[in-house]
Parts: sequence; structure tokens; C-alpha cells
Amino acid sequence: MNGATTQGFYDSDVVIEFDDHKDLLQYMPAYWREYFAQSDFEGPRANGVHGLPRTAISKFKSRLYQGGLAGYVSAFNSGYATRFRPDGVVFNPLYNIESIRHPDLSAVLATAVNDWMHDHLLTASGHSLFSIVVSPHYPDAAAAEIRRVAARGRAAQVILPACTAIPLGNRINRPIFEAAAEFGLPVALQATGYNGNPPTSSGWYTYFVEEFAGLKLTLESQLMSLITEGVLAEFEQLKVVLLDSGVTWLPSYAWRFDKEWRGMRRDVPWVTKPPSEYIREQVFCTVTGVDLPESVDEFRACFDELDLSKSLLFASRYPYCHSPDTVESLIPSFVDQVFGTAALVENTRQLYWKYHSRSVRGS
Amino acid sequence: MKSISDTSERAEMIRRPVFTVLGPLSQFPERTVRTFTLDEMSVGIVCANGEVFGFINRCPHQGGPVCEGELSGSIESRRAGEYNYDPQALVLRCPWHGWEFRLTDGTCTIPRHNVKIPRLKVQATRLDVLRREAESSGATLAFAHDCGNLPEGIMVVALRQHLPSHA
Amino acid sequence: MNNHDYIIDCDIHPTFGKHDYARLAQRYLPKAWQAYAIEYGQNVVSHSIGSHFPRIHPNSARFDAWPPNGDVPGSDYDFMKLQHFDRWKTKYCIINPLTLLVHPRNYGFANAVAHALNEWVIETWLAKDDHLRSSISIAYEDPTASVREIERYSGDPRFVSICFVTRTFEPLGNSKYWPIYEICESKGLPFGIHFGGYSGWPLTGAGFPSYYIEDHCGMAQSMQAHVISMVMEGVFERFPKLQVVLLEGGMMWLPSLMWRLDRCWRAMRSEVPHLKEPPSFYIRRNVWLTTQPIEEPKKLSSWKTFVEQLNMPGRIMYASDYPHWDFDSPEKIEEIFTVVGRDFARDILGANAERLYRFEAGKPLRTGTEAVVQS
Repeated sequence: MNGATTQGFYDSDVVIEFDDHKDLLQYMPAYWREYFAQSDFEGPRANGVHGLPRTAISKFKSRLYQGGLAGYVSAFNSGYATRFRPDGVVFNPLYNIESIRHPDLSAVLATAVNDWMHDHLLTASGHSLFSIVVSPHYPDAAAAEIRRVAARGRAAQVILPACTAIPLGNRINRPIFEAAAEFGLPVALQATGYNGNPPTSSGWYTYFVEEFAGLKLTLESQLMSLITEGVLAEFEQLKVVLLDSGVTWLPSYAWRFDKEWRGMRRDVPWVTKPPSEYIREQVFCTVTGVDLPESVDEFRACFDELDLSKSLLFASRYPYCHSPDTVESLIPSFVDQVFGTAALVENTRQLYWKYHSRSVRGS
Repeated sequence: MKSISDTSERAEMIRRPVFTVLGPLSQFPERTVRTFTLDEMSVGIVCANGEVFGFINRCPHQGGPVCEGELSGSIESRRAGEYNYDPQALVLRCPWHGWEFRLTDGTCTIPRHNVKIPRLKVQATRLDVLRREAESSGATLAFAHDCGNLPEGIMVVALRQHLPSHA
Repeated sequence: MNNHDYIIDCDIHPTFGKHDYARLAQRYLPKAWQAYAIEYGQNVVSHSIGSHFPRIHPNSARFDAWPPNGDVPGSDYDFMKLQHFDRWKTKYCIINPLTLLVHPRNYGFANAVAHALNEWVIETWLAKDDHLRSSISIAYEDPTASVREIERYSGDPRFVSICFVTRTFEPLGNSKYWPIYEICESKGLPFGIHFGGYSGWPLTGAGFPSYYIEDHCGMAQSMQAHVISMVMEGVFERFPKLQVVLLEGGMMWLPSLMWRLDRCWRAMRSEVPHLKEPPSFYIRRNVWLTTQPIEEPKKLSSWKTFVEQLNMPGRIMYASDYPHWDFDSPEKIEEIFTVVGRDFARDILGANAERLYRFEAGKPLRTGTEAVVQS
């Protein structure tokens, strides 16, 4: 095998985009199939997400998605899977369902995506898993969907967007985390999304590049919310995964957060540990989209005080990786040099597959 | 009645304990911290829950005047929305960045933060009792500057320390 | 520490006392605006006044900063002198008169108030103490009028910068604000961005937070958005001598933000062809940091790492934020940065600000920012 470890090669982030809902129609009730056709409903992807021009999406789609989603699976199998032979991948759907305001349609679409992934992805590559997509805006429906899908097995985690109407830690959203925790599933935050709020406290940027760069700020707010609102305190075993987040902002963020918490515990008395401890123990980051300095020594120094060696996850973010030759070259070389591919693969296996090796159903 | 600021006698006093009368108990309202400067050392004294507490007036965080902060009850919680408030378990909150210290022992309430504000020995006692104790133990009896003439038998708040004593 | 009259405090906040509003109105507001103020009060965007949650400390002030005369913290000169200027023997202090009055949506009112505020600062503070300096208050959402206001005071050497806030109606790279940058550059006036303001938007795309700690901690996110915006929109390409000071936004996030912006720029360069250099180049040339509120890693060595990664020698300046509760003492700042070097620490406390603001230079036209850029 191509991996640098005898324990197998596991990839925490392979992206599948659900743009064309034709493949999903078979998973929807007749009422919606008819309504879609007659209203020419375009679906969530027409709403766009922060930081990503529509043209970027269509560039990949033209190459990979010929024949729709089946085309993607075929391209994945013949390309990435054949070349690297992973023992398992986590498929993360890119589908900004949070942009759908209609509560019932939102639920129907989530169900359709989750069912399609269950039916089509699990044999794609080794022991693959997929992430459960739900809308964060209807927490009760989201919780029900999490339970339904998780009970069938082979779900890696729940995936949520960073850009939401209300911060994810808000008590309104508790049912989502209760359901995830009940099944021992992590919750992943994608550095993307859209639901009405501009990305800055001064409204909207002008350029995509600004929005894309600024996504890390929204992730920072979400992580802060999950800690201050007591989600990570209440669900001590719950893990949060930050996808494509940048990573190197985490230490300085932790010091600021710790400092503020020390003087403002009256505000949030249920946060009984320094925020950096919740981060160390319960927060993971995938290693794509890492904001890297110019030297490996500078990169190594970032983690001198905040040890993330157990918190970083091997990830390719296929198809957004650039023609790598080896498994190691799927991740930035500084990351490989400082942490080691084998260690990151093991972190990934522990987080997602250790659970599933105990309780896989229907694999 | 001798003022402790008389430095010519300092050398003689150094090995002897000093009882400094800070004022009559009536001038220490419940849960109100009063600060004093004694030989360039700032201290804070407060009466609460039937006891008298004294601390060095310097926060271990950035050196702020911790004794000029507020007293509050303590809050504990295990989950969001839960407030277990104990108005008797008082904490002193530094006026700068809000670090909290338990009144009972000066320890910081921040988890994983093993710091404290040093405590001082301080008590409320009758002046005549204090005099007798000073006499029998060889301690110096001193009076803070604005004490005024205190009648015997009155309850006073007194600081018990050795000189020099900077924490 | 030794008090050697070298400390320059880049951020203090004198405040209106109980009677100052009335005095300000009567002395400096035209009668029509006085009547308006009584009838309508402030006109800020409704989501952002700031009482959505308790803020731990009354008036956001240090609890020991309430003056004995019973007025609000920051309103009493004598007490501020005793507690802050004399305590630290400050050489200069720069006033940033934050007040919500300059952010109302009624621009006529905002401009009248900005002018009144500048006159108030002169009479109540600058005239009393020649070690005080101030930023010029402007109704920044009305750039045309702001330029006029800056013109009015730019010849007065006691006004050493301009005061903006982070919660503006547009990100600060937006071309709307460029007339202000143009005059700042031409007059050699540094441009300060201070946390605060009333845009009505939540801090980020996550939505409105529930607790003050999130709002306060979120200053860092708020400030970073403007760094992103100013760089990517080409403010520093268009105004290469403009110097921007980040106030009360923290510091330690800047190295990783520079790396991120460089990475994003490399990937999406064709969208912003007006940028001739990587983002980090502009940041290192045009941006200054202030220390407050200082982050507090456990290891002092993390500060050494930060300084090395930042690679912006001489561009960190001390700010106290007196009388606010998140005030940092010069003692603490010196202790922290002595791990890098004693001279380095002392430069943060004074010399770096001296180079930027050129307090000793008197009243010349401040085109000497070339010296700042090269140092």
C-alpha cells in the first residue's frame, strides 16, 4: 500500500459536491419531485457560499461529474482510490443546505443526500464513511435526521457549516449536539456556508479572496460559541473537527481566549476549564488549507505551547488537491516534517474508524 | 500610643511582632473592603460573615489593587443555564481584569491557576485585650494614622505582623 | 521598573462627565442640532448600542478608576493624572475619544457632533496638559465631511492621528473611505482603528453571540477583517505611505493571518491584480500594532516566537486603554517583552511610538513618513 504506515491509510476529508439534485429525486417524496420539476427549483448550490466563486465549482464539475454524481464516484474510484488505495475515507458533502429557508424542504434535501451517500459511497473505497448533512436552522429536525442516519451505521460525523444565522453553540442548537454525542459522532465544521449574515462586523467584503481568507474568522467565532455556551463542557466526549481551517491561528486564539476567560468566568460559569484545554482535548483539525510560514522551523514553533500532535487529521480534500504523487504529498510537507504522516493517519483512524470497527452495521 | 512610621525605632522593632490598630470595628462596614498603606505596603481589610480578613493589596496577575475590587457571592455551574449561587462564599474580584480570590484563604478561583493573594493576620478584638496581649508577648502596639483616640474596651480591627513584611 | 519619562501610551479614553454632554452641546453644537439632540438623541443602528448582556464592569471601566468626585471613570482630569499619568510618569498619552455620537446615521448630526467633540477635547484635555495628544474625531461614514474636519485640525500638532472604529458600515478597504486615507497620507497622519462602533452586524458570519466574553474576545476577529480588507482592496498599494495603527485588537493573530493572506493571494491573485506585492509586504510596511489587550500565553518563549514570526521590528507600541477594565500596565508589558530583549521592551513602551507620531517634531507638515517606512 502507498501509505507510510502499516496501520493503513485513512483520509478524513474527501469532498463530494451535491449540486445537481436530479440524482436525489428518487430519495424524495412524490410531492417534492413534482414541485421541483414544475418550479424549476435550482437547489442550495445556486445560493452560493462565502468565499467560493461559482466558477470554481463548475471547473471541477466539468471534469469529475460527467454523468452526475455517479460520474464523480467513478472518477474517484479510477483516479484517487486506484492511485492511493486508502483503507478508508470520510466523504464530506459540500451542500449548503443551510441556505434553504423552507423547513420541510431543508429536511427532505438532507435526507435525500444522506440516503444517496449511504447507498453509493460506502463501497467506493475500502471502509469508507460519510458525514451526515443537516441544516443547523431546524435543530429538532436535524437531531431526528442524525439519529436516523447514525442508526444505520457508517456515518463518520455530523457536518455543519461555519456560516450560520445563529452561532452553533447557542442553546437553540443543543438537540444537534445531543444527538451526535448519543452516537459518539464528532461534529465537523466546514469553512463555508451562507445564511444571511455577512462575514464581518462591517458587512460584506468586495472580493472572493477576502471572503475566503475571512472564513477562518467565522470558524473562530463558532468554536468560541461551542466553548462559551457549554457544548464542549456538557458533552465531554464530543469532538469537533475543523475542516480546511488554516490551523496556525489556533495557538494565538487559545491564549487570547484563555486570558479573557480568566477574568470573565462570571459570564460563563459552566466553562470550568481554560478554553485551551477544551481545544486540546476535543478539537481536531484537518491538514488541508494550512496557513504556513516560510520555514518548517517557524511552523514547528507554532505548536511549542499548544500541542496539536494528537489533534491533526490526515486529509487530502480531494478533489481540491493538486496532482500529488504519494500519500505524503497529499499534505503540506511542513506538516509531514513536523508531525509525520503516520501520526496523522493514526489520529484519523482513532477518531473515525476505532468507533466503527466496534459497531459497524451492514458493511 | 505610638506611630509605626517612626523609623528610628525600626531596627529595634524588626524582630518583634507588631499589632497595628487600624480603627474601631464600627468603621468597617460588613462586606466593604478598606485599604491602608502601612510602611509603603498597601493592604486591604474587610469584615464579612462574622470574620475579619486581610490581604496584600496586589493582584498576582498584573499588580492591580485587588483590594479595591468588589466582593461577590460565588457561582458554580455544571451546565449552561445552571447557576448555583452562594452569597456567603465570598470572592474578591480584582478591579482590573476580574480575577477572583476566595475571601477565606486568598486563593484564586481560576481552575489550574495556583496563585493567591497573600493573607494577613487580622482580627477584631477589644483594645484592652490587645494591649494586654501585646504587653505579655513583647509585641509593639501601633496605631494607623487616622485612628484617633480610641477608648479602652472598644472593639478594634488589628493587623498582626512582623516588620518588614512585604509579600 | 524605573519611571524615566519614556512611556508613551497610545490609547487612553477620557470620557464625558455627567455635565459634559450638556456643556458640549451648549458650547459647540449649533442651536438646531442642540434641539435635535434633545428631541431625538443618538441615532445609531439599533442592534448595537451595547446593553445586550451585562458587561462585567460598570462603564467598562476599572473598578478603581471611579474618581472620588463621584463622576464617571475617565471624566476627571486630576484623578486621571494621579492614577495614570503620574503613576507611570507618561511622556505622552494619545486620546481616542470614543463616543457613539459620531456614528449616527444622520450625517448632519454626526458631523456637527464630531466637530464639537474635537473642540471639547481641546478645551477639556489638551489645553490642560501639554503631554496629551489626541486623534481627530470624524463622522467616518461621511468621508467628504470627514476630510474637511481633518483639514481643520491637521495643522495642530496636538492632533496626531485620526480615530476610526472597527464596526463601520463597510470594511475599511472599501473605496468609500479612500478620501480619508488620501488626506491622512498627504498630511502624514497615522490612521487608528479602534475596537467599537455600531454597524448593526454580528461579529462574523456565525451570527450574534450570547455573552460579553464572546463580544469582547471577538475584537480580534473584527480587527482582522479590516486588515484583510485594507490589504486586498489595495489601500496600501494606492496609499503607500499611509500608516495604520491597530488599537485594542490584540496582536498575536497577525503572523498566521499574514501567512493566510499570502496563501490566498497566491491562489486567487488574478482577482486582485492591483496588488503588486504579497499581502505580508504591505502589512509589514504600513501597519502598526498596539499591545492591548495583551494575550497571555503561559510560556514567555511564545512571545519570542511571535516576535520572530511577526518580523515587524519597531512596530509594536504600548497602549493602556485606561480607564477600561482590560487595561494593561506598562510593568506587565515590559516584563513580557524583556524576554525578547530589554531594549526591545523599552522601545515598545516609548521609542516606537515616538518614531511614528513624531511628537517632538512640532508643527511641520508631516510628509516625513518615509523615515517611518524605512525604519
